[in-house]
Amino acid sequence: MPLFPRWTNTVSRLSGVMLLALPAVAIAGLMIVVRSTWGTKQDRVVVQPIEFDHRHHVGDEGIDCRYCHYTVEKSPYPGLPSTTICMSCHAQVWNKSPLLGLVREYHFKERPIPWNSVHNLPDFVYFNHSIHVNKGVGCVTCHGRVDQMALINQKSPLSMGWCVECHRNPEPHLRPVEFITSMTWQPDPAVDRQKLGAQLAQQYNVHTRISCDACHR
Amino acid sequence: MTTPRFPLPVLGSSAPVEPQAVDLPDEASFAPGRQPGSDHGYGRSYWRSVEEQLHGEAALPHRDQEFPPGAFDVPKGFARRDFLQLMGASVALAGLTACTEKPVERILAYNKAPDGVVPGNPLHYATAFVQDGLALGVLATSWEGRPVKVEGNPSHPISRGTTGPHAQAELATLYDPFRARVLKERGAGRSWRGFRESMRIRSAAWEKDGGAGLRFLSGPSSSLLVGSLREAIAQRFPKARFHAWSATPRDSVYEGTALAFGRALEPHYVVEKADVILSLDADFLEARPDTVDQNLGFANRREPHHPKGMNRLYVVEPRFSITGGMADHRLRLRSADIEAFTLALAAELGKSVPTLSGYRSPVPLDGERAKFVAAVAKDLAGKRGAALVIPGERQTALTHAVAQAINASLGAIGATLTFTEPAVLDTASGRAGWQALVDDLRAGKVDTLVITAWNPVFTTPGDVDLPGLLKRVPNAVYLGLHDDETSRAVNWFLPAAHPFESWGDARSRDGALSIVQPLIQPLFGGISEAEVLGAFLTDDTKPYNRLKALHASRAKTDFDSEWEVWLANGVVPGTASPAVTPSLQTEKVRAAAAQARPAPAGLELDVVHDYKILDGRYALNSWLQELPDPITKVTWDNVAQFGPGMAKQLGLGNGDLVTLTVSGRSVQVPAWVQPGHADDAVTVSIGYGRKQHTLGVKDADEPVVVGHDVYPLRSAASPWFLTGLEVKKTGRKYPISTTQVTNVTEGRPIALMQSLEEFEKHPEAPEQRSPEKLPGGKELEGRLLPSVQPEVDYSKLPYKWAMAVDMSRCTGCSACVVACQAENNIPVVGKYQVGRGREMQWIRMDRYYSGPAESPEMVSQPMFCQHCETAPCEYVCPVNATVHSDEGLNDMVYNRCIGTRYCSNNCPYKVRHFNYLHWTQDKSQVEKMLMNPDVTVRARGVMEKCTYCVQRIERTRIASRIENRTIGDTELKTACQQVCPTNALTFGSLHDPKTQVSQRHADPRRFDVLHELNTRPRTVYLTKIKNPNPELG
Repeated sequence: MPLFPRWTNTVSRLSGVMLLALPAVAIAGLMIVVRSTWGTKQDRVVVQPIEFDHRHHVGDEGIDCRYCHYTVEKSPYPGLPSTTICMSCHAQVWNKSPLLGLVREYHFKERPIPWNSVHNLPDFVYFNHSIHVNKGVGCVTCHGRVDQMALINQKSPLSMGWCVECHRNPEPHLRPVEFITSMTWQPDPAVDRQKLGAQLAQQYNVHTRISCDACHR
Repeated sequence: MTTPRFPLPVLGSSAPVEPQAVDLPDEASFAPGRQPGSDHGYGRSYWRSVEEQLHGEAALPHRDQEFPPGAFDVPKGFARRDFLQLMGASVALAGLTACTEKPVERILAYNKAPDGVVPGNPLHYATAFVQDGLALGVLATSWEGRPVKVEGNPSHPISRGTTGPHAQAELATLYDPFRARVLKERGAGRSWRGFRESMRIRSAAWEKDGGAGLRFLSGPSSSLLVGSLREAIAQRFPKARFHAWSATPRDSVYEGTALAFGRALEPHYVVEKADVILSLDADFLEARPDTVDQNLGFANRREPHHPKGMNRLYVVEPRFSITGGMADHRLRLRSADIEAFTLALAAELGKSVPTLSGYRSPVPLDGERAKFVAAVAKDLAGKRGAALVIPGERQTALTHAVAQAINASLGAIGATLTFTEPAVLDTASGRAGWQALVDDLRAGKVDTLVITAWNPVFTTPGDVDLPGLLKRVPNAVYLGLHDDETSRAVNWFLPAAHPFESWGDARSRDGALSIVQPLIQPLFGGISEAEVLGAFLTDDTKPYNRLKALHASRAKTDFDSEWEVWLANGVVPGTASPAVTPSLQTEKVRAAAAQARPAPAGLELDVVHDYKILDGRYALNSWLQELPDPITKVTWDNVAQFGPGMAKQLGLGNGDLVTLTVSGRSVQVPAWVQPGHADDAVTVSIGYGRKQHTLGVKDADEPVVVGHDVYPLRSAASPWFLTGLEVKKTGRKYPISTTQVTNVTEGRPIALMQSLEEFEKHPEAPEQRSPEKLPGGKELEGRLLPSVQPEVDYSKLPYKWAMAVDMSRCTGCSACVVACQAENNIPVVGKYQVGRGREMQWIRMDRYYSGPAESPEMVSQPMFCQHCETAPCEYVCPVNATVHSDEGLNDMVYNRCIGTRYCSNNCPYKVRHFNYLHWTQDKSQVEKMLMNPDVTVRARGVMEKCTYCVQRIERTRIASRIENRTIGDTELKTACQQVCPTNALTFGSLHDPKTQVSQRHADPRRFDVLHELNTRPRTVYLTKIKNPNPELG
């Protein structure tokens, strides 16, 4: 009778394999988790203090994005509408609606509405809306069909890999600037998408950069 | 000195460097210094401290240790085993961290967006930075109503777009969380209304007796608003009196002109037009609101290719000043002897200039000085109409008067010198300004004293007991930014509003009026000086309305629209004072000069204002406290500067605590051996020695005493210098933190200097002039060290960023260091950590000396990341945290950095700074307001360094690309370039040969620091050129 029964061979091999596999699986697991939609917080519902419905404002009424997000063409930030912009319409329409009670309250108390942020970039990333909007990257390209969202949620992963992918090959994502806020614009199927993109890139003088300092300062 | 090369780390025991006493050898080896041209420096040798100059780098403390003390320390209370245990646990728990949700961030939109505000894009507001009554026009960068950066106002006549270090650091004072917040009466909280009511009740009595007991003590002011309020108060209470007090008065300037021309005048030195300049202890290159414009004028004439040729600067001074560092010839002389020197100069000039005949020095000058006077006189006389003599504020009225007489006789007036009426209301802010008040206080005549001058209890000379006198004043009021020494001696303390929080006006030296507009609501509910004065009037009009009413008559057409233009431009047009042509009272000056007596012999105490904290008013400003002094490179302290000869005689070394005694009053100050300092004088700077909270320093929650108070040594009669000083060694050492001799140069030439003559002989680049040698004498034979990095083609990209530093222009004023700190959110680390070499400032203003220790020449070299094309830091980083951008920037990616510090070890320039601790943690809300939102705030364990202000590049790039154009040469400036008063720094793209930076890169004076390492730096330097007088050899 040997000191160790035969099955201990299996145990030792298995534990050897596990010793290598477990960390690998753990690391791979973590990497998968942070890349999953759960990790990137995509499609997550963020409740807002006021039930603002983009479906109605963008879809039904067809209000241009820039009516409210008024600094998107000139500032890194798209600009959140001031309460005055809400009231410029809602002093006239639905001015008694209980849904808008908080808007009126904040407006007359002269307090800012505490919206909850949906698209969060890390603090060491400096994204600039104006350059993208001016160079033919449409709102819908990153933010998705806002006109179909009751509550805004994050459609894109906003990961560095996702940014760099487009920065390496921006052409397929470019559109004519006159359709920059359009939610429904589709390229003419007869035209080659890459070719159209290349033409727009030339027209708008698009030079994407992938050096670190383009976004990290 | 035997030090183990790799000493065992002793946990948590390393303290700031105990400086070694200078072991001074015999006289002979002292005099010549190291033989020039022996092994380095293209004909010159350079050194940074007396120890190094005498014994070479081997004498430097820690020369044999590659790293500064403390570099091997691990954090206290943390052993290796604990670390491994925690590591194991943290790895196991790492997965769980993902399970916690980050709290949702709020976005708060405006209720009603202010006009012109675009969230995310800063606005610039014109206002003025005021120091001792003189205004410097500035533009404040404001992010959504929060000022975070101050720049010079290009349309302001003094600023011309630049500032000095103080204006840059002013925001750190604005956001100082230790500013006073509570209005107090005898220590108990009161309201502003309560104060006004109390004054209203008292005013009934003053109205009866005309305010006989009412006194005001303010700092020197040029504010027309304050002037009009004073007039209104004087009308209501005719017997009320106004006095001015400043610890750094400019009285001698006005007394001197009064003697020379019959009335007090403000001189304006047009330095740019002068071919020969003599400074009589005048530090006119210190970038303060009265001198910023002179920096550029001077620097423009330091270029060897200037069409009118280089200027020549002679400096006569006791200590080594910034101006002395730029001098072509420097004579070290006690302050008390400068009057005699001036008279000797006048006498010498009188031989050829008839209007200067009849002057006579009270003492004959000896050999070296006589030779100097003769040479200077000859040079000045040969440049009539282009000669200039500038007397310093520390000098006597007679020196000023004689200097102006020389200027007048040499045809300077109207050419290199103009006069206007003084812009300040208080031309007497020294002894003359307040002696009457002190007498009244002693006589008990004062019933109410309103103090708006900065902290007079602290700044009064040692022979006036102001706290004792204030006890006799039943109703003393003090308006101050901080609860300080004076606030404890008065019964009413009013927290002041910062000038950036209140409405006001101020005039610059030439009279140009600026409206001071608030940039932010008072953070702590402060009160402005105008409001305090208004409390003594019957109407309680707001300062804003008073200001508008006062200036309404200035408008040519429509006041309201013109007012907006004035605010936007920062200068009210047509307000500069017209030049006056005074006539010299030749006989009066000559008669006064005849009264001059020889200065008493003996050791002299020289009191100077501090380059950083001035008279102490910036003592709580941590940016300025941590700024290394432009000359001594001492941080967080003041020192008693001794000449090398005197230090040898007394056996003193750096950090030896000495007792200075003069007129029976004594203080203890650490000694500092200052090359080039006069041997018969000791210089101390005022403003230190206060127990204070210091902003931004983690280990200073309790108030600490910073530096040593030397005000007790001052005398009211002679505030700037006193003879009869006694020095006694205490035998104790005091640790001093400096930033200079922490690294070694291995004898390689780093900062180069040449005479004009040498330069004209060999205008090609200096490194081509002599075969480069490796340390040890091995010749490189024209070979550069090979680089391991591949060649990169930069020609395809639109820009190729680069920088050039003209060392002929750089004075070392260090405004760039503070500007960089403000722009890039650089933390302050405190004295203890600076002593361990952990300072974080991205710019290290290096200072080298050349020549003998008694009279060395100085060269200042701002050293920051060189953005090497083949950067040694990049290929040693294990995580690619420092990589090259497509346009040649050496990027530092904070979020990749894991803190191995390999990059810093491999950087030959030692310009990388590591966050040893989490400096930015636990900042109060107020301090956070100071942060530039365009720059990442770094955490512990991250390396950082100069980025060429990449945030500015990217902002300008995006703006230009939206408009489909390229960035213009003047459109983009780095923070250091923008602030530089001498235009020493240039930044731009090398692709365009017309840009200033391209031209400087092509200049024959250009050299790359450590070019033999083949790092191919993008930042290059231009040799400092000196223009010595051949007669002085």
